Amino acid sequence: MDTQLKKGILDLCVLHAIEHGESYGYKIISDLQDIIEISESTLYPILRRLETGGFVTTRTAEYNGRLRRYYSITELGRVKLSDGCRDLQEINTIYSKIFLSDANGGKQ
Amino acid sequence: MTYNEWRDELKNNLLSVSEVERNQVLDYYAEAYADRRDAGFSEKDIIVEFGAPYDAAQRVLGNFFVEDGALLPVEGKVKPPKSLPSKEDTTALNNTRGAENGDERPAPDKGGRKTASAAKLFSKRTIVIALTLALIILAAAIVLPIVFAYKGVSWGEASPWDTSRIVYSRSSPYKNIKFNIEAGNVIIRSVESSDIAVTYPVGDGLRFDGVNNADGDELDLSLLKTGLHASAYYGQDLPVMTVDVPQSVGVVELTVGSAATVTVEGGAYGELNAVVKGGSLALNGVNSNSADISLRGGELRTVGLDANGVKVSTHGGVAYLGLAGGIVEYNISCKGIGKRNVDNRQGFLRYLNINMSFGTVTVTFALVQK
Repeated sequence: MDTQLKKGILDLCVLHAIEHGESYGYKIISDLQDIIEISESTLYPILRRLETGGFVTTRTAEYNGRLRRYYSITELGRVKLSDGCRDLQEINTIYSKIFLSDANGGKQ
Repeated sequence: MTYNEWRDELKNNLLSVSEVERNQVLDYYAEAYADRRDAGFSEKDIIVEFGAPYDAAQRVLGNFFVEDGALLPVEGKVKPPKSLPSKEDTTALNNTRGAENGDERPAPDKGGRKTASAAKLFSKRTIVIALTLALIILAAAIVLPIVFAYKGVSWGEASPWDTSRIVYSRSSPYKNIKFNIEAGNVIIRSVESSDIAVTYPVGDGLRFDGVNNADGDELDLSLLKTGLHASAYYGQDLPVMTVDVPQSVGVVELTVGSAATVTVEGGAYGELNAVVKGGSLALNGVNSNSADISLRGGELRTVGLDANGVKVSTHGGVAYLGLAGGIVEYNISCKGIGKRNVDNRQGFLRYLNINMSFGTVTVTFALVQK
């Protein structure tokens, strides 16, 4: 998959993973592992970028005698997620129109 | 390769980014590692999943380069990834902007001017961005230490409780921390490490608290002339701790938690105060003007304890007292519901062995009403 395209989709996947409640790095990866391949070294810059862009906020809390960073989606992040999903649907529609119609035409 | 070795190697591969950024990356991986350990993964599996430290660093750095100018490496030691355009490529990209739809020739801008003006504009924008970044970095350098100080992550600042010169406070796990301190008072707080060594030749006081007691933690303090205050933080226990204070004249205060093993080797103290809640406290060849030890659980073992006055209050645990001399007052108390219900007492002294060369020992057994 194209790197930039994958990055855009990964952003949406991460935002989706925290859409219904705050989460932390390992849980985000665990939640997404069945959907898309993502590693720690990929997730970290995404989270940092989303945080810098104001799409997620973070808080640190003590867990099991250590500190853990939790990520929450912001309103801006929800807008980004919504816009991104719309874009994906649009791409899907274009894909269907171009390639699936070609395939159908080929069969005919 | 152990996790700590992996982490060190990752750190070495991140030397080109700022220390703040580097620590954030390391904190992130520390958390990821701990979460996987909690989930039952072995150290080896986790390291395999993390991949080679060099590759992990390159992926993180590569994403910084591409995604966010504010996260550019500060020292420029690491080359940008190959996917990034070089300066010449960037110029060429600017010159060919507008050719994205198949145009082969450079496209003019709205004013009809050619690429030279676009390049000039780009140059001005670069300068503006650079100046803005410089201002942000300058502001961050002023503001961040203040913010972190309020969050408990601070350095180079004195604590209110003491006139200490050095405050070291980090919440990240470290391997092999070494403090070599020549003078001044020191507070070391909230440190998590598998191996901490402190060399502290002179001074008036060393306070050590907030030590994370992960498995295998060891704290090795070599103190020449100072007092020591060590206590748990956020309910955690002190780690396995060895305190070597051969010529100390200060006050030593120890709070020994349930999983701690504390050994004090030698030393001549003004006061030695200890609360043993569990674990074990060993005093070997210690000389002190006075010693006040509250044993509430665990084990107290002294060998050749030499003090003018030793006061041991026992509410539980096991005590083995080897005394070189002096006057010893030993109070044994146990908690009970009532005088007739002594069998319901909780955690009272189970064993008491006293070996003494000379002096006086007074042992008082008292029942404490609850």
